[in-house]
Amino acid sequence: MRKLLLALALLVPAAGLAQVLEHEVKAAYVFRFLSFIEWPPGAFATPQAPIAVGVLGAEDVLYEMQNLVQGRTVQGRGVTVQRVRAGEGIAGLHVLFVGTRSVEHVARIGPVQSLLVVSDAPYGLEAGAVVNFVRAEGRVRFEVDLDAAARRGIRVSSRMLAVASHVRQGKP
Amino acid sequence: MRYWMAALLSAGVAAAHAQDTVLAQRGLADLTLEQLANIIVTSPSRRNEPLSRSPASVYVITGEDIRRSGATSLPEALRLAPNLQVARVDSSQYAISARGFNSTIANKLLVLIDGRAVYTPLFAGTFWDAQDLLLEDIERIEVISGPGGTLWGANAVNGVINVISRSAASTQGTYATLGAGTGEQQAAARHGDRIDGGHYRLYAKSVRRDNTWLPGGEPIRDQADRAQAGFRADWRRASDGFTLQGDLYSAEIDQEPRARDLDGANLLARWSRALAGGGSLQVQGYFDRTHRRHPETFEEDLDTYDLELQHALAPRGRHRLLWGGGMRRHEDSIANSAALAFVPAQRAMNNAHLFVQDEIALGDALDLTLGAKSERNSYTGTELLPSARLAWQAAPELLVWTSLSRVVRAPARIDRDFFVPAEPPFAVAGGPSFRSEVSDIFELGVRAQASARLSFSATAFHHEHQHLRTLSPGPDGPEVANDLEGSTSGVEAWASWRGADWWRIDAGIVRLDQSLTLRPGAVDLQDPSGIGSDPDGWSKLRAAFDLGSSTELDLMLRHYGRLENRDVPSYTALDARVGWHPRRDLELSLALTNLLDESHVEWGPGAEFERGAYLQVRLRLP
Repeated sequence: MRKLLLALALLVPAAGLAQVLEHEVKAAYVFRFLSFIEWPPGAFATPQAPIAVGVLGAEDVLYEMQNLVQGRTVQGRGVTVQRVRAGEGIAGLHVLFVGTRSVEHVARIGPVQSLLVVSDAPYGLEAGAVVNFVRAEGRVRFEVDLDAAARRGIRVSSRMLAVASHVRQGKP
Repeated sequence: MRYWMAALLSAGVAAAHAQDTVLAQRGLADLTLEQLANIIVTSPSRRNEPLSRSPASVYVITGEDIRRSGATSLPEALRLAPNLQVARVDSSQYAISARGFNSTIANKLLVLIDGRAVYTPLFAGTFWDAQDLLLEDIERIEVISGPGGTLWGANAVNGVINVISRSAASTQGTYATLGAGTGEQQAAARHGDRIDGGHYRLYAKSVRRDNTWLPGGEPIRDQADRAQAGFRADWRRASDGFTLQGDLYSAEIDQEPRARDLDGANLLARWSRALAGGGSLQVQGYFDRTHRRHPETFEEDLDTYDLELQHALAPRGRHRLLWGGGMRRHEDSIANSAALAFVPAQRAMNNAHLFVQDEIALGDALDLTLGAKSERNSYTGTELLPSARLAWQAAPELLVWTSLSRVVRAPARIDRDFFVPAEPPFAVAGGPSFRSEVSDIFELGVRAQASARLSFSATAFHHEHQHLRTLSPGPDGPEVANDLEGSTSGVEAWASWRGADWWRIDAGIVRLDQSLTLRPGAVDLQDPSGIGSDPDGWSKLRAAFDLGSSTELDLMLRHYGRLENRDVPSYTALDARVGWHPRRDLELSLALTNLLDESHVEWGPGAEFERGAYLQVRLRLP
């Protein structure tokens, strides 16, 4: 039914039901996540070094985030947002957002430390992401895999976990 | 009418107060995670997910597609839609249509820019030489081929084009662009910032287009200078959105004997609220003023007032109900000449409409959408525009759909009030009894996401036309009548294949078969091109490559069949664009047009377009 609403939304006059777009919400989420992630001390070259966010395969989220981070700081650091292409080095990134159609790249990231991997696909956590977006009742929610976070050496604050729609820990 | 609108408005405002509106205010980035988790996302943003569910022939051009195409105007950007026929006539005029009946005064396609109908009641269509916007502000263009009357009203017979601009929050900072090439120069800048709980942007652009030439080398004298400026501001708190936007433009386009002037201004306000449970409410109003002066022919002042409301109810049981209504008033004043006259010279046209649509889940995978719009116009009174759509989700990634609709093209000034010359005997006289053109339309379509990399859509359609416009012998000369009928059948199909992350191919094809006959005993005195000029098909192919991390290459090939009644041969054109990003905030691009041949014409009579190049710089400042 949710999908039918989307179809309907597409058929109503311009900007009809369109006020908050999905990619805008996702970009805002990724930005807000930065406040709730603790990276290991070695993850930043200097105390003022910015948090580096990479976006792979999601031009709309990339564009939105580039606008949104301007002039903002998180944990006393600036935020940079850059486009990442498949197969490119992701060294130096603190966050990597992987778009829906590129989810297969999540599994290929390898054991890169200090990297918050955010995906946007039904099996994002299975592919190895730390945070994955899901849709529920017309809203955008997210799920968290604490084991994946531990493997990458990052900590997710309990305040963020409290909002997650699902927290996964201790895989069978 | 006024009563129910007021009642709904107050109901909506009450609902707004009832909900928690303490949330603040500076944009999504300032909301807490909890607040973000509660925002109801009511509209699709990605092409594949929502489109794969839409029971209609819809193609979405994204802002990114436009950037990579190298298009420098709205009509050029529309070339990206496989379901549109776009023919450039000269420096500023275009003939654009879907599913046939193309003309520079095409009257079966409805165009909206951010919900504002750019519609002229002179001929029930769009003056393309008056429409422009900063292309970089476009978020997407939804191109619907096929009937849209139930939701959009009369004149959405063969298609609807919805141009949707980015929110002000998405266009923050400063942006500037400069472009120059054969035949055209442009400069534009935009600045966006925060404003008291919201965001705004301001933009200005100026365009100069050089003269074009007819085949054989005769200059058309159509050099154009245009300046435009505008703004958009958005405020959002939790599930409420408020938008205020406006534009101002002025253009001078050379012609015989003297240049024509166009200018205009518009202001639009829209309030919307996402209701708990998945419903939504929207109220929108705008004012649009245009002025057009064709020296020694005619001069027109037009004011348009429009107010509309739309309410999508939260789903109840198996039903999803959407309803709305609105009013539009056109007031025009025309200065006639000896060459032609609109009588009366001043006219106020009122249009009121009300629509209801119910989407019924017949089963897990089967949905039936029933809808009807009742629309009242000044010429023919009330017209009914019903439609039924059935969508079957045959597999998670395969949608099969079919639709049956009746749409009308309501009369315009040119059908009822138009006389050439101004005094009898006339070559064309308005038909006092001209009625609406009617189309009954059947469609059958499939849409699939065949794999993560391949998606496609195919639609077969059949339109039965009645009462199409003709010219019959009348007492004072040929008079506008409704004596033509017939059908248009065809298919439109397109596919997108993302072979790898660094390349993508989009291909589309349309076939049209039109068969029109006069009613028994009737005579049509108009030129065959009067009803429209269409090829029997066209195809478009687009390939996009990312070469390394900073270079992109795009190739666009299109082929159109010949326009028989305008003596325009078929043509194939290849355009290419190379974009280079030496820095994240800087883009240099070179677009080349007509790489295959020396020149071609797209419309007759019309300009011949030669090989061209356009160099552009885009710069983003924080």
